[in-house]
Amino acid sequence: MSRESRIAPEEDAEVDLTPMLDVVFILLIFFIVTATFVKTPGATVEKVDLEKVVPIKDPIMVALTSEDEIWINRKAVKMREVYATMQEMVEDNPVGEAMIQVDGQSTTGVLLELQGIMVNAGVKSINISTETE
Amino acid sequence: MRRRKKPIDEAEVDMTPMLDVVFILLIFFIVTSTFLNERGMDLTPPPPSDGPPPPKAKAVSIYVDESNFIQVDGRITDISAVRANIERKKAEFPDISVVVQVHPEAKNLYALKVVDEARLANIANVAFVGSVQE
Repeated sequence: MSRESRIAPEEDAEVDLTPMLDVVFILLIFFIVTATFVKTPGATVEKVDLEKVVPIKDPIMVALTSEDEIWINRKAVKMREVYATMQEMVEDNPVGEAMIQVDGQSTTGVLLELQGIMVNAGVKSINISTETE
Repeated sequence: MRRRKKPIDEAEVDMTPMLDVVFILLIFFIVTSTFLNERGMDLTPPPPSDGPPPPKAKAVSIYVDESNFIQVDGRITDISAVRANIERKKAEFPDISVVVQVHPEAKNLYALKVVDEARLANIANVAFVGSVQE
């Protein structure tokens, strides 16, 4: 109680950092909890506008570009390498929900082949990504 | 620096280094956080069945050919008319299914739109298959 009276006027002022620390901690915990390290495909695609869609949380992401290239985790992947890459991804993400970002100009033959390989590699559900507003 | 000793008073811990670390962590998580909001249409192929195919169920057969023309039961149809066609058939046979056959060279834009239209027409059973040579 007698503390205040003892502070000399010329002494450096001390700011109580505790409330700020509390706020910073809460923010930190929020960002840790919400942090999702999704491996983005890293390719730009012109997605198809679809209406019957559902939100998917933390999917395995694959992109299929207009040149029928497959991109996973910022790398272009050949069709014969997709199986091994997918198995690794499924190991990291056992929920096994996948999202394919399909370009409207890609061909269906490639999509169907990709779909088959992904299911064989243990992916449980495949979704086609659509434009989000 | 005149620092007054307070032997009985509560001990004070210097929070500054911890605050520095916490700030760095905070900034790291802010920068790396991606709030990705992906919405998608389900296109999981049905599991392969060993049994014989189900008895002939009524189905609307839609074919997308290599030049992206859409045929509904053999008639060339515009994408905007696909849903109306399916709905008309559905009124006749309420538990009708839709088979979307696509040529491997067809563009996904049209193939996926057709599947979406069929789903929007409230068809429970929409099959998306590659074409077996016409």
